[in-house]
Amino acid sequence: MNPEEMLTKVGRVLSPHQVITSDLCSACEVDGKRPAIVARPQDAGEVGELLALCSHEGWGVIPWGSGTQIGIGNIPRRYDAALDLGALDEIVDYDAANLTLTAGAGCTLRSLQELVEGKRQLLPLDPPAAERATLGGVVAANAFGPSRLRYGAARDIVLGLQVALTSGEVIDVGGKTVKNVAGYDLTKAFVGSYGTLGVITRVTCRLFPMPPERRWVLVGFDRAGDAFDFVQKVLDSVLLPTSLDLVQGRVVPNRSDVSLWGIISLEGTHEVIQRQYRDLGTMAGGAHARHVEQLADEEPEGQQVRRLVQDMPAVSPEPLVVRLYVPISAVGSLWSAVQHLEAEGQASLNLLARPGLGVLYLMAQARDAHLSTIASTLQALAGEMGGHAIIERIPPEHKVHLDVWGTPRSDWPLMQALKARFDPAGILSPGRFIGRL
Amino acid sequence: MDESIIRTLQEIVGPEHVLTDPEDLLLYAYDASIHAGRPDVVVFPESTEQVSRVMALAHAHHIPVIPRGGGTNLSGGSVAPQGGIVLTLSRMTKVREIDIPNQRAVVEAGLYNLTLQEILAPYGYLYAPDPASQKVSTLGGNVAENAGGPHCLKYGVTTNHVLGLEVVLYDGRVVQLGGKAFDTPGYDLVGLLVGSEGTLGVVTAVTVRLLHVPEAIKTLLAIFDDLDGASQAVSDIIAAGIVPATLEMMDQLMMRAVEEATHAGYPTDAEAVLIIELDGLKDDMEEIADRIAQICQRNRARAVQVARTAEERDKLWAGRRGAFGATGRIKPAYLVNDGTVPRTALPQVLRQVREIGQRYGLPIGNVFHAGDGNLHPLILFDPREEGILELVERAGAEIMRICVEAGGTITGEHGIGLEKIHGMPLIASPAAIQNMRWVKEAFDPVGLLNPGKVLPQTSEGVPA
Repeated sequence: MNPEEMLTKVGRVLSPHQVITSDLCSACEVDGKRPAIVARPQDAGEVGELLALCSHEGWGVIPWGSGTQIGIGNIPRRYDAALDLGALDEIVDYDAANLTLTAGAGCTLRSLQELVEGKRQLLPLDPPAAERATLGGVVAANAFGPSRLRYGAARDIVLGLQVALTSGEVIDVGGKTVKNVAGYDLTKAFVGSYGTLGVITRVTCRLFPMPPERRWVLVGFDRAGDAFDFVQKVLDSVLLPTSLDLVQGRVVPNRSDVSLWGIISLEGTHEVIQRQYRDLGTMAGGAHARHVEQLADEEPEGQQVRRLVQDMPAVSPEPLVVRLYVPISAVGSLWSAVQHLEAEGQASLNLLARPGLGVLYLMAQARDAHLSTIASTLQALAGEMGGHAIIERIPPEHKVHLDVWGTPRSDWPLMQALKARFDPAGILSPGRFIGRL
Repeated sequence: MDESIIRTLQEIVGPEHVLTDPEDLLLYAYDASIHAGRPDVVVFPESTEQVSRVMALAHAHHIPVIPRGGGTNLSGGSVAPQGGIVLTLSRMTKVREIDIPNQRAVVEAGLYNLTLQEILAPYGYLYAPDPASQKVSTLGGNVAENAGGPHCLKYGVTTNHVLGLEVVLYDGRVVQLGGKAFDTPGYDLVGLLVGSEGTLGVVTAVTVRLLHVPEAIKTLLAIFDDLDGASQAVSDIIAAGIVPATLEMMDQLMMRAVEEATHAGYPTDAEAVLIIELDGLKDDMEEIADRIAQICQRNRARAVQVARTAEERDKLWAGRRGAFGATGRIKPAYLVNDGTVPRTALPQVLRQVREIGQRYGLPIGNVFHAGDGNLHPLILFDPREEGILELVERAGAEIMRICVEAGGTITGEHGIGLEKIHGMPLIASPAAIQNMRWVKEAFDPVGLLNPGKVLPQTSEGVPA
């Protein structure tokens, strides 16, 4: 697409300072493809007008927050314009008494969390790179972190959305009450749709009271089998951990020489936390743990541990990052199964498991030629165990013959039918979603 | 309906599982709402395969299909205003799998919610959504309505606990959506199906998430001499950072009906009570209960009682769950509203509801999920009185309107069905309704599944 011609047309919707062209667009590359323009609309109405224009012209458009999740997806079939939503950063309605917050999609999660923490409230979304991640991006990707175990994911926390459609219309779906069954739950259609059905311009979230105290518990193990015995005991108990992660490697600084850490967060009153800490200690002892200790969340070491479990999939340098899902009791077998890759010398691995969610992140360093084979092997493995795998990061040349979402299932024709109605011109993140929708 | 179609249906499900007698059809013309609509035939398949064949037949002959569970629908969602086949899933009650290590269960759509709870109890697990109708409402129906229940304040509604669905599509195809693992790649079709009121597909089996039974439970009854105090206490408890498992309110009219019916122990001279249940770890439960009692007392509670035994607790809950039925002692029929508002608006909205009742001369009782802001004003009436239905419906429409004006919605858990279809434009713009229609077309392009429900027939919201 000729950028000059595009600029003229976009100029009918946005003023010149809202549009970037040329080399500056390199910041919005996706899988090696660079858009001709980056447009920065000021409000939902402008987003709608731009989408209508893109539909009319057949321009491929990818919505952007801060790009923390943008690598997830297949290679765009067509990419003419990036839609930078950073200017949609208004706090629309912070209703502390009703524990709801409505804010523009471009607000960073961190800024919103600081806002509500001022009133001793919590917006419990803790995806990787939360420092930079925007609310809209987190919701579009249904991104989550360790505390999903207690609070759920964006899917559970989002009550309503404002969405700009490819027709140019802007609609509100859902509302600001937790219970709402007025018509179809369109909110669910857009959450986790990765910018392929509409562009989320505003989000209403449920908030929670800030717990009186938060602490981290570190449990060190020598063997994965012991760690998973411990995990199974915790999950089958009355205890209510906020998060429960297992991390491979000597990742916790200044600690004894253990190779596998169980990292658990506890929230609540002091009595409830200490009672759970005692019970965890007993369970850990029964599972041959080498090390058990607790850290206050507000201490520097507590913050270090929080960042470690939250950010690991984002900050790890490996060229291959895969998020595998299986039924929760299968995470232990999945963990040992993937280690064969290392044992066979195919790859060196970093692992992060969220057993209560049935999730395993695998970060692999391997010879470039092997990456897509490893990725397909992992997708097949997760499938055999009753789950699936999403290839979060892999060099784009490997995506040519690999669907990063895995093989479409019997429900795919329904997805295709939805996509065809919401985006008839096929301009929103074209080709990026499952089955290259 | 054509005889040959009836014969084919008999071949599919067995002749004894097809009803065509007018008396039988009349029974299936009703649900728990004030709406009615008689089907041409009622079938009772016992397997997914039979459901699939019924759907394929209906598709081939262009016959509407109305999926039905226990028939407890409160918005006319399971009646058949356009005739057609009522597809009752009550024979599909198999428990396909109780998978404790994975904290999942896979059950067929016709299983009662309470039956599932009873099956899970020996394992020390539960399924969180607990609609008051749980004794007779099915899991499939709960999915169709995105059912709530008292404990949803803390645990969320059906959509937060359903991970997978087996669905028969409009033409008989069977698809599996989601499963035991989270986040199946692609659009969240499970999220769209939940709450779609049988208009997108026939749910035949459900994969649910199980939770461990909490270590401790404490049930409080806070008694108030004024409604404002009770509703302010609700807001204050939440504002204090406490999330009880339940925060239910019942007013005097409802308590009188309940006491006559079940002798649950509610104080009939009080204006309102709150049923507040705490669950979780035992260690700080006393302390939290004390804080709640203090908040209630600051809001002029006459007394805060604690259920001392499991039996006392069960009686309170039996009374609460039987409340709708108990109103039969006052008037033979009711229209129950289901508006949901931000909970700080409760005192004002409850005053407005009372004022509407006075203005129309209709008794209105309230028993509802106060912590969620989910009202259930029951407008009580005798349908034999001439012209009363129109008055009741007008009062109901006014209540919907004030809930929307207070920043809420027209239905929290009972669904749109037929009853609230005129209210849809209050809550969804023409463009948003058009989007819902796209969803409908994607799943049911011919429009045979539960036709005439949920979506107004034009985007302006005026049924044609």
